[in-house]
Amino acid sequence: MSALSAVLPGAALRRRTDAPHAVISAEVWHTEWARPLLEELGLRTVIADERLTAERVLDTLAAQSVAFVCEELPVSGLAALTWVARRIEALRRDDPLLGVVFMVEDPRALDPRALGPLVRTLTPGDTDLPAFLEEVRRVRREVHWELRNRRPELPAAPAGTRPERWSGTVPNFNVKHPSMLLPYALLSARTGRDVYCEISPQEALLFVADSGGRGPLAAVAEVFRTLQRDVDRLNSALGSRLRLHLDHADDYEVVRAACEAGFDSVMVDGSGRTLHQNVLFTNAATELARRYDVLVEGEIGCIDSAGLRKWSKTTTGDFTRFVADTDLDFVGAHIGQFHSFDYGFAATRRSLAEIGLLDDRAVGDDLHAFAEACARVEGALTDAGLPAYSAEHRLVAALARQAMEAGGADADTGVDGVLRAARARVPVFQRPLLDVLEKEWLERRLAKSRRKAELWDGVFATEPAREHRYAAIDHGLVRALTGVLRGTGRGLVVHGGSSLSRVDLATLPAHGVARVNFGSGVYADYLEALRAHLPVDLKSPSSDGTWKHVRRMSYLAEATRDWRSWTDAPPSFVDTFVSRLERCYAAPLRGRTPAEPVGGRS
Amino acid sequence: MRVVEEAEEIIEEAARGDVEEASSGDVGEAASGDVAEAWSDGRVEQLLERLASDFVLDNSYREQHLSLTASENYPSKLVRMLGSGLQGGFYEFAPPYPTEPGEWAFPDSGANASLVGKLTGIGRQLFEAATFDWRPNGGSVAEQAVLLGTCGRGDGFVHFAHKDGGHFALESLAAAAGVNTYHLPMVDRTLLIDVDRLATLVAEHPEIKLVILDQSFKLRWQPLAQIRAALPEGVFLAYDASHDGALIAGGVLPQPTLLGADAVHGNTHKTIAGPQKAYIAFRDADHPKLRPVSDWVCPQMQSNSHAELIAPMYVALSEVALHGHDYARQILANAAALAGGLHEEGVRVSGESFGFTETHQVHVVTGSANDALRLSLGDLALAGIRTTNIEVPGANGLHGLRLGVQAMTRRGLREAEMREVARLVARVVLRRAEPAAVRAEVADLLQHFPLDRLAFSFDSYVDSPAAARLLGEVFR
Repeated sequence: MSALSAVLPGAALRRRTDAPHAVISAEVWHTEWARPLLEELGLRTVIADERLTAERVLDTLAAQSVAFVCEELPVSGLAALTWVARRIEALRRDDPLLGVVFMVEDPRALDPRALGPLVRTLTPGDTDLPAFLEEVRRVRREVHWELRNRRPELPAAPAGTRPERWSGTVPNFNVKHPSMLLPYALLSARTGRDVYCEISPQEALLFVADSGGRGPLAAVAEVFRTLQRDVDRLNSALGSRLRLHLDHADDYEVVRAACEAGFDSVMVDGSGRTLHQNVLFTNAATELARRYDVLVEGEIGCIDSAGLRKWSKTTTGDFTRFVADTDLDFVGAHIGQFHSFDYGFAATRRSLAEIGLLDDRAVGDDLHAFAEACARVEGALTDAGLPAYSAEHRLVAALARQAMEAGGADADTGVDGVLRAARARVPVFQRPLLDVLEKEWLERRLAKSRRKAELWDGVFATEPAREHRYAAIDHGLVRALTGVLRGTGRGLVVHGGSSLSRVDLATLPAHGVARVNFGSGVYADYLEALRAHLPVDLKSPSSDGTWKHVRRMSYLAEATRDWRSWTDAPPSFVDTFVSRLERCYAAPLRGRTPAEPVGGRS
Repeated sequence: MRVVEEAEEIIEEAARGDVEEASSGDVGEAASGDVAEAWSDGRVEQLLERLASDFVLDNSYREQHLSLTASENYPSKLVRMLGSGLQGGFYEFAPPYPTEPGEWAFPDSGANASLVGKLTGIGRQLFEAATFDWRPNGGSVAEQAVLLGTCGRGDGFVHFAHKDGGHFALESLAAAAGVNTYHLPMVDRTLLIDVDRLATLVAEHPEIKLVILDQSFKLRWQPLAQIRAALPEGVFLAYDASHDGALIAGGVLPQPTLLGADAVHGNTHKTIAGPQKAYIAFRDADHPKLRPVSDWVCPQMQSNSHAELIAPMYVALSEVALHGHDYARQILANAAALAGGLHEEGVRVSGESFGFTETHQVHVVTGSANDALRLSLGDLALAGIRTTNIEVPGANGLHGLRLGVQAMTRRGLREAEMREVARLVARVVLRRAEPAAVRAEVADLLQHFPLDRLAFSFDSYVDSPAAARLLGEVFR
């Protein structure tokens, strides 16, 4: 028992620094039926009133630490919608993901379907407030990386010994499609050597995942498990030594998912952060991975922080400090190669969360959009000088009420039906009002769809383009970096191997480089080999972003549908591709120089 | 509002004595019946809840913000808890000179005298002084007592002009008391006192009886020995260590009393992470000004010296005694790292010619007064960075930010983290980054430095059996 617990009641000692805050108005907090519903959430509560407004509290507390604001809704009907819109705008000035709860005594005062994402009512007897809180927290975690950047809890049992590394220089190929595992395994079986294949969370989600329905992280974890099963099956069937490596993971959840799936190696990539933060992240992630007997690779230097193939090599000073301050097996560095990385996963999680929120309300007639449209038209009527008691104000209020009561999506009972009925009975001079209302409603719905399409384009725009020229690596820098690692038991990793000529590749074993990663070039080679086998035009000039991705994925899904049954008798294109892997990527890493002139891609 | 009014009603009732009447009677009864009755009073419950809400807000604020204010710190758990330890507000006269019991003597269990003995002992030791008066209820009271105890009507005193970091508490008081004010002559480039011009000033104005080094915007150690040598015998030299008290006690800055200061005084809540109290320590117990200065503190300026803060002061000074050297060294290293980091980021940091800082402070020049105010109360506050704005000494009237590293040093940040802090400040000050984005990074950085285990403090002893016995008594 601690000294404090000896003298203070337990409740006073319970530290809840990880619990989010709720800002509750005094009226709500002192409402007899509402308070127990809020108290059972176990949040850190700040009570707001006229002297300490909710807005002032939100200015003080970090946005991500406040789960929701709960206020009383003092009006009903269309006025309530206007009130809600105004309050949400004021409360969400700094954080569009702030949850907002309006307490209403009478459930009929405000239809929850008319409210936007992460906004709800609280009525007597509500039981689903915990689910709402959970949803707010889930969305916030998807959107705010810093909430996922909390030091992870470690599994109870520490691992035994650190797994052994290989000797020599091994290739590491990206997996853009699970069918690529077969040629990689065949390469390993035929050369009798270790071959690594790697997948980043972004690739797992966008290239492999069957469904993102349970959230991107769950989808990625499922991909990891499936890949590991496939790798185990191939190794068993072919006698290969195929190993799985996690590529570019910059959050703990992904590292844990890969470790739990059974990956042999993980990259904990803090290179998008400052050196200091990189060290903090790398050490925490390494500590986590060590519990699973997994080899760990860290990244140092701005490999391509803008995703634009920026040329900024790792400095020896930074590298030395990074190595001294971390406990890694491998260190990836920028030695002059071209290398596109995909930190896109964090952005993708954000985009998918926003798409989810848009989907959440855009169902049926999208009563939220209709409520907003009604509030907008009502505002316009007021601006035009029509008094609140005018027939037009009452008409808009009546339409809002009828739409909520109708609640159906079909032409007779939904918003369409309400508008049609109104057109048949209102005076002609009021008809434009109905059409403006319809326009506002449809524009809001369209805006949501447009926004979703824009988000998808952003998600798929992250796919790196293939470089068609070679980079010049800095051999002096490679020597300096491997010199720093000499005697430490750690190895240097080089990414962007596709951008290196085979002459340069062949020098890397002599430098003591442990692993070379090949990404976009190998994927392009795989597609070329497959297209030779099953011709298709994937270079349509009109297809870009989302469409380009959809076309490729559709083609791959169709062409490789039965790939798991190819183990015994692989199609000819697989053999072609394996030969290419051996000639262009694997052989140079065994120190063999090419026969053809430098600079040509065979 | 109804609830607030009801809560305030309870307080008013208590002030009228209604509560006292209600709870008088048999002790056993009070322990059972009255307590249960109090629990059942919804108004008390509401009052407590509203208080809890304010503490939730304040604690979260302190957890989530980078405190770079030069005048604040995080007191340790024991310092915070012992402030509520004494049962009631006892008076304690206890001047720092021998005296017979008189009008200002009060009956005492002996504990107060024991606590005062411990506190004055450690205070004398930390500041190489013969006396240690723990009674001033703040740094202003301490320096005002020094002024009134050393100067009379028609006399004069010299201190730092406000533009050079001088404290605001003296000039109005001096004017009201008929004491002439003079400013210390400064060399703008070095931010050091021009000792020759000071000697001339004092020689030309024989009415000057006090030189007080009361700088609150303080980057440099002043040449105290030369100043003492330049002053006539009867001029009182006082050093205000409100800001650098822990640096002096920790041994990284010289002891003013050993360099000729007649007294060192200051508050105990800046680099010393104690309660909001103050002290005056005289080099010589027989100094003719000891009694007048001490009497101005109490009973003339204050009759109540907040005796409940003696124990927290003692713990705070004990933390300095035990950890002070490492703490002070880390403060200087952190300040240098912050200043260097800001400079490298391209921020205009004052004092490049002398390595930016010799104390816990770093001064950043940003432009006009409005500009500095907008930054400190606007963008930086929204970014979760707590600072204050000042007219930067030696910057030709330009304003900026006064940053202090002592609080974050207690939180455990070291040089590497201070460079991160510099980057975050520069993002707001220089690159006008979106405050919300910077705030996320601030939160990310601070998650590694929780407030429940402060560095250079006794926090790690809070769970010890000895602390359990102490706290058991405190809350008995």
